[in-house]
Amino acid sequence: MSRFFKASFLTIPSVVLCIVLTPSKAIADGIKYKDVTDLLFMVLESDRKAYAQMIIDRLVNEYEHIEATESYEDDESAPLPAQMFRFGAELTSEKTDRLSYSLISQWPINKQNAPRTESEEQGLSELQSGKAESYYTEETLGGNRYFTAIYPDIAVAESCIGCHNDHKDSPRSDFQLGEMMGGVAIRILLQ
Amino acid sequence: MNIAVLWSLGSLVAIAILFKIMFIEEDREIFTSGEMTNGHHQIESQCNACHTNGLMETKEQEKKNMNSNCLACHKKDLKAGRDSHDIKLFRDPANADRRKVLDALFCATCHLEHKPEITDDLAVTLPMDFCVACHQEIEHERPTHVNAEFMDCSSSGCHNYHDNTSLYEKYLVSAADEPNLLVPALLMSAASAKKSLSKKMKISFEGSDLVILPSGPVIDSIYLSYENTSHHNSKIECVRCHSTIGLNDTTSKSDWVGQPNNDVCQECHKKQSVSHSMGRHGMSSHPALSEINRQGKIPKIFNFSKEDSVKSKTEFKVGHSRLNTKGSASHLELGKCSACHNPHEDNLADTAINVCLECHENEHTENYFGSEHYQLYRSEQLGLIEKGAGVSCADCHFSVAGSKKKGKTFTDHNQNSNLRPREKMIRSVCSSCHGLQFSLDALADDAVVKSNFSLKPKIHVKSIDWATNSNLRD
Repeated sequence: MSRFFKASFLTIPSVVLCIVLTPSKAIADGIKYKDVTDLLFMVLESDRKAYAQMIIDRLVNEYEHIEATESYEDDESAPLPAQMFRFGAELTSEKTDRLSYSLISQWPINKQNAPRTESEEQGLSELQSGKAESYYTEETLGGNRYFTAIYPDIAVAESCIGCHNDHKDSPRSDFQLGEMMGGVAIRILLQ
Repeated sequence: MNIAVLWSLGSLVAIAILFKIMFIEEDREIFTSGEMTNGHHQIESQCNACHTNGLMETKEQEKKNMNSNCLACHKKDLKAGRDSHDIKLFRDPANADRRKVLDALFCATCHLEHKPEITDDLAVTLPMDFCVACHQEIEHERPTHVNAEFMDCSSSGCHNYHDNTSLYEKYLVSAADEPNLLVPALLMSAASAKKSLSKKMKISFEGSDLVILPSGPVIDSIYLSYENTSHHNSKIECVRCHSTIGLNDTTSKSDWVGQPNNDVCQECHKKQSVSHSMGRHGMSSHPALSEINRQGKIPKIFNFSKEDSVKSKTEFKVGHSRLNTKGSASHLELGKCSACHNPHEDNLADTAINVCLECHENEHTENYFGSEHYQLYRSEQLGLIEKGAGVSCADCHFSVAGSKKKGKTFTDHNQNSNLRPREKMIRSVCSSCHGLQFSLDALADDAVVKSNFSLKPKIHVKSIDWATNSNLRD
């Protein structure tokens, strides 16, 4: 009997410790959704900026080696930065429905990219007014609960404002470098 | 013997008969809940090609399974058409409200099978104004669309749901000034061609005299003997095809095979063969379907089918077609390359027209001989005009695929690649010779299509006008 208690005394706390210290469990419990979306946005923003500056501004505008056009397939040109961003989002959506991200704007060239949910409208509005640098909320879409974060999408390269100011379907033609042109919405499916 | 026993025995017999039909004879049409679409009726008895659900799967999983099965055959085509409404676009949770109205994640939302009473020519089973589900704001976004009817979005030659490669705005604007005929210098004028051809053939090109015999003297004169065929010139000797060994095996002994199957052709003509098995002529013989029937979702203990029996059941013959076809050709098995091609003759010029005519019998086909396309084709065969200037049946319905830049082209034997919607044909075929506006108008006019493009289009598709006008910034 005493051996049983000794064994229990050692085994039970060990099992509990193992469960608590299992890496995946610790990460899931330890990081807030807000921090996850913040980190994700850092990656997305950096990749987006790198493509705009290293490919579009350098190879398209500076050296004029290639063109970057919306109809990149027919033109055999480079896709626009916004298209590259969307391709990444689409590839992610093929792998999981737990995470999604998209570009939205109050002044979209493609009207399908206008804000579609209350949180998107509210988020863009608050970011535009300068009330906050990012916007967080929870929302229910299609019966599923999501943690939604919205970040400003800033014109980081000449090519951004050049295209958006000149495009015939753009509602604005006065974007300035460094100005907010829309937002990035990141959603995490809440279990 | 009481009624209960009789009832039980009767039921057992009925079950045995159904069991035999389902798993042994495979004439499964009696199990279908409704006639299938023209695009799928060739595989009507091969239920397992589409229905792969397990017994305990959820509705959601069943829909996903069906999508996978649709895309197994149609994914390549959708990609080639740069699908404007790719499933990927609708996965964003922000589109949940749209998906509630029209769930664009699933093919079966728009394309239900076994529902002939609500199926249109493009196999769509939704009302024609389905675009309104997402584009109700279009008249505010585009002034050109004010008062436009949602019923006309896809019927007017302006938009397709999937393939808009020849209809998107920038392309329309870039081709706005194209003349009806793009290459007048290349093509001898139709009148001139007709005159030269009449003189050489000593026949009239008016009315019914146009019908040409498949083995007429001129066509005969361009036939080449086997010694001059590309097969012979490529040192493909008889035994290479007529044996059970592969093309690369020159040492093994083999029995003589009188009628080699497609596998032999595929060793050298793989792309043509694969595309053939994806098209209407060859889909029932697609290797994957036979495999599904033999080893697929049918529980193995119930699968008594042997390879040969499956094959015989799945061979699609001309007589099975829903199109108007000639009775004399009803026995032809379309799954075989040899149904259209004679490997002992370099007869592609003949194949491009006369082989089609052996089976197809309809207004469009018959009017071909009165068309300028045909006159140019004959002129080309006679060397009166440049090679490639003529237009045969195959030139339109079996487009050239592959990379022209790399010189690696092949004849796409999947006629679905540019068959429907008709606008799919514009870039792969029409634009070789005709301006975009003329092509749009001609394809939108049923009478012109029936006349095999002998008539001039009376319809004017407005998309180029609208795109040109809206391209001007306020």
